[in-house]
Amino acid sequence: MIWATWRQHRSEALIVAITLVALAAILIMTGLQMRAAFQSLGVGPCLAPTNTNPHCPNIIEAFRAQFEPLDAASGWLNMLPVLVGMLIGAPLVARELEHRTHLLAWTQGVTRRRWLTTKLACVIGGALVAAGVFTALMIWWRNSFDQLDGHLTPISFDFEGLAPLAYMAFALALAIAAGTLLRRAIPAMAVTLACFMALRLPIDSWARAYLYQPPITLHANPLTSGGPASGDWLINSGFVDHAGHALSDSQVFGTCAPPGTISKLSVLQCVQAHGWLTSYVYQPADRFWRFQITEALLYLALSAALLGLTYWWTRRSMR
Amino acid sequence: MHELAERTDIALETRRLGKRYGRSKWALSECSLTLPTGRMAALVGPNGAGKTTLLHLAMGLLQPSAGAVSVYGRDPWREPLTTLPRVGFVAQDHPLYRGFTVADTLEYGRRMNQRWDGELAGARLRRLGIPLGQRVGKLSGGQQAQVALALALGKRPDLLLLDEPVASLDPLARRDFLRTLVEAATERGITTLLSSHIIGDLEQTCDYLIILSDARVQLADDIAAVMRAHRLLIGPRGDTAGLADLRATRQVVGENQTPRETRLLARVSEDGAPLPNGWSSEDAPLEEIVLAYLSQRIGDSARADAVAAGQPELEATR
Repeated sequence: MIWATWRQHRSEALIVAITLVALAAILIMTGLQMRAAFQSLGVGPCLAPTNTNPHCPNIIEAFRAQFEPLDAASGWLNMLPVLVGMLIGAPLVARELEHRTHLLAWTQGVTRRRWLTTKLACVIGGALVAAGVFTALMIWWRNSFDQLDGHLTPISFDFEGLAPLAYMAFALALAIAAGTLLRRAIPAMAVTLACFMALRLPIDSWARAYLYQPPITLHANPLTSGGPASGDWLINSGFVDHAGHALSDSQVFGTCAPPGTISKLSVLQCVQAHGWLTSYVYQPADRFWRFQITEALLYLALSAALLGLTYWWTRRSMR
Repeated sequence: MHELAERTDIALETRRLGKRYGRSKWALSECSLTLPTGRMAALVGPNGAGKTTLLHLAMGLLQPSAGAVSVYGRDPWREPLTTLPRVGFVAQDHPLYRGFTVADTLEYGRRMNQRWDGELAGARLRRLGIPLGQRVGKLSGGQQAQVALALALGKRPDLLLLDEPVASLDPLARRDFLRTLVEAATERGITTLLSSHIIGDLEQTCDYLIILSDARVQLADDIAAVMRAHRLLIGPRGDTAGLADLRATRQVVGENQTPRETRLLARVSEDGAPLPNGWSSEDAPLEEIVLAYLSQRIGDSARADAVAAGQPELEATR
């Protein structure tokens, strides 16, 4: 049974392995560059709490300017799980139904349940190993960015810890279930892409910031406080009056930043003179694992439900 | 649900078996038949009669909506672990993994079955000149059918179900396929149920006939008994008195008017009633018997019931 699964899916396995090696080569190359620049620019010492070097903001800015495009581009790697789901998961059962080879597979000496279990275990297991290797690479690669911005920002969070493995499991479970229900691979691919994005985008942009645990709101003196610590995930910042009511940006800048002249310092002095405070909404860095586990459990629970449906549909899917 | 007893003499048995798709479309209904072990049975019926549904129910691929099906006394849907190893299956158009080589396909059979005789399967394919290293997708239709059959036989089944195995084959490939099938089945005493709408082939291949039409079993019996029980009656065209007489004394299954004569297919009369003047009687070819049962009217349930009621009597004549 394992042999049969391997024989059927070995070319997919080979493609995944080749892609992974190519990605690893790119990540190791650019990662080494990044580490070298981090070292030579002297970004590390600037991040020490005791640091007083006045050039530090410029040094950090220079590093960001050089590598931010790469960081932004790496966001596209978020699509990898759904790609694997579409290309390997969607046809997993659907192609058998399309080519009617399920009639061959389900009439051998192996029950349908065992047939599906072996297929799922091999394919999802293999994909999780690949995702694990990729996640390890990404954690290494993102080290410099993480020292600057912490692990909780979406682009770090999505690639580190348990969540990326859960995304992979979910993408495959979703695609396999869609293929089994729709009985055709191409529509299942479309449904997989649509459902995956429909879940991940709102969770990334909203649910994680506000739902898992309410964010902390900090009202601070604009001149004396730097706001949340480095590594915390700053979700939102603005100004409030002394009673804590939010002020619109136009109100603040209309009063304190007339067109022309001013420096950042003079604006903040003006803000302070009005008795206004800076307001920060943020998630502290130490919530990383709690959030990772919450998000992973959410996606894994959905995956389990989808696989359960796949078993049920497989048992009933003869027409 | 009917309780079915454990059987060794009955390979396949159905009792008022029915399968419904959707809310109201019955692909098979009230299907009661018995297939004794050792038989080579033909399942005949027009397209859409429920042949595939019946075979899928017997294989445990489908869950019955009504009645019961048993394979050697076991429910194939509920006890797949008991029935799956004993039943070989060749699906319609013999689906295979096209990217596999023939050797891969045999290895697949070995890995997917507890009982497996790969030596025999490989030797048979080699004898047919099918290269084991060839990709299945590159084989001819006839060769693919042979590979599918080899896979089903490699399982060493007690019961072999084949769904329209020769429908897509040319006459030569059809003959070769049926020859391999008969050889293997007789050699190892495999009970075989073979669906087809090509009647000519079945006469030489099979010894048991099941006619399925309008989602119901119209006839299920030994072919020799069926042939003995039916006569072709030929008389002048337009002889209404003779026709009425024959209808009164015999069970007329089919009627066919040609420009010159009237041909009736009737069951042999029990009391040996004489033929009307101008009528003669001859052996009915199997094809004519099958066609007569297949062309029975859809709404003619009274006749179908009469046929169903006649079954035990026919079995007794065997």
